[in-house]
Amino acid sequence: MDPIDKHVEALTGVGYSPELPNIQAFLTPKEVLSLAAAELGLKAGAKEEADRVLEEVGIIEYGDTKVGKLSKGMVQRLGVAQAMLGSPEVMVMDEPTIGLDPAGTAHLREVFRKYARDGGTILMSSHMMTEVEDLCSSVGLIHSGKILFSGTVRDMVEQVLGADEVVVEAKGLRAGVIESLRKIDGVLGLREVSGGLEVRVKPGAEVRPQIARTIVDSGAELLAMRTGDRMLEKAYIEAVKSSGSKAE
Amino acid sequence: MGVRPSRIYAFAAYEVRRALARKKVLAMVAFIALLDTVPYYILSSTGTSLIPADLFPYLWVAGVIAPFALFIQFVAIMIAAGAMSEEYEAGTAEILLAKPVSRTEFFVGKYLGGYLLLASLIVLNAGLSIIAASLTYGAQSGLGVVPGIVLAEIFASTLFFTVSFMVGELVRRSSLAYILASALIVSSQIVGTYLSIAYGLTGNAVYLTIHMYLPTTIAGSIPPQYAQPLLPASTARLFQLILGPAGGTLPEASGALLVAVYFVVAASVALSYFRWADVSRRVS
Repeated sequence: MDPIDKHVEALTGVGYSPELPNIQAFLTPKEVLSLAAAELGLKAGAKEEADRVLEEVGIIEYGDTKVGKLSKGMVQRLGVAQAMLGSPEVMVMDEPTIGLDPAGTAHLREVFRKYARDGGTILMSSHMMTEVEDLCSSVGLIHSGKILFSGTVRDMVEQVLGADEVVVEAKGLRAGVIESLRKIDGVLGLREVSGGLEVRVKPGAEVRPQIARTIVDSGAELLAMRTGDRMLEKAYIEAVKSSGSKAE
Repeated sequence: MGVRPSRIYAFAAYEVRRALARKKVLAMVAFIALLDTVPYYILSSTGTSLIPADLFPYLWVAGVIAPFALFIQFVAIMIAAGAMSEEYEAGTAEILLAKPVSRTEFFVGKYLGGYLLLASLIVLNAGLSIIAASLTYGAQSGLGVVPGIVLAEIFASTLFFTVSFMVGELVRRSSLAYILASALIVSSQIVGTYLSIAYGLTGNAVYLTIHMYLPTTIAGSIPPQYAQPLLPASTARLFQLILGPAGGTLPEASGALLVAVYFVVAASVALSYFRWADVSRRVS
């Protein structure tokens, strides 16, 4: 099906929330959703459906307030609400949490998780790699109009960085211990950072028990150990760098 | 998938709401109210002796027809020129068209909504004029013609409404659309005046013929052409006063045909462009 020629059919069952949505300031959220319901052809239960999505995104109490009087974050939530109206099979979200406060971001992420648990699919574009890492089961990296990568977050990290990362927080690490850690099978390299080490390990290799033992046996104090954070962001930067241009 | 009336109705209702939310249109409504009432009260209190008494029962004609030639055309421009362009400027077209609706449904709904609002204002103009004339000059006669005049005005207003709608879609900037559409009406009016003067001075029928085909002449002449034969001969003076210097007018059928031609051409151009062109996120 050509989505341009048959765009009505192509858009059936698809909800779209633009980045910083421009919504009619003279309407109230309930009126916006009433119009959206009419566009979708929802008849019976349209009001209840509007209330449901307003409730889900957390702005039901502002349902009768003019959009022009809502904060940027509330308008963003309304943009998501109108996309969710009628329970589409797919939602296309462009930077859905931009402009939201941390509480609002957390709330919407939970809404998206619930939607996905209920069988929905979200196609989301975002520059916030932590959000993508947190929410997405598969990612596509598009840069300068080219798809640089497509697959799971884990695959992307493995393929682009070629390693997982373990972050160790410890006190009293001596040079000898660091050398011992380097020799552990599966450790590809390590780097001293403030308060501990960043250890690069083979993808899928479970080396944490050995690392812990080595540190504790050396008499150093092991404070914490976790898998590396912001790995997708690192992979993104690396992938873009490798493609020969700067990250946008 | 065919065009669905329920979607057209939704967009039409939305367009009426959107237009009424704009201060420009509300100002026009207020101005219509003033234009239809204040002159009657001023005339009745200061200049009644200037008007022949036999015209008193027909003074509603002035209020119903006089504003149509120019003022109602500007109201049409105000409503139509912004109908599409303001959606692009506000960036609201994107979210409306991201739903499973066809562009034709959106276009037709917006057009009909604006046109319905204009038609309502024409009815308001007629109603207020008749009430004001009745209150100031006593019972009015010949009111059976009013529905026909109102319909003729609604039909004739299609010309500038559709052209302005098309300009708004093509330029996608409301201010520019207002300026261009207003320039058309003002220049047509000015050229018409020059042609009337030229005809008066030279008697050359070419000037009269050109005058007949000007858009302001076509649109402005249909309601009086319809009304005058249905009212007593004494009202001819009233029509002369309202319509100003002598100019040519096309036969009623030809005028109606030209309005239809303007509508078809302008609506087709606008719809074709809208269906073809991309809808940008926001035009700043």
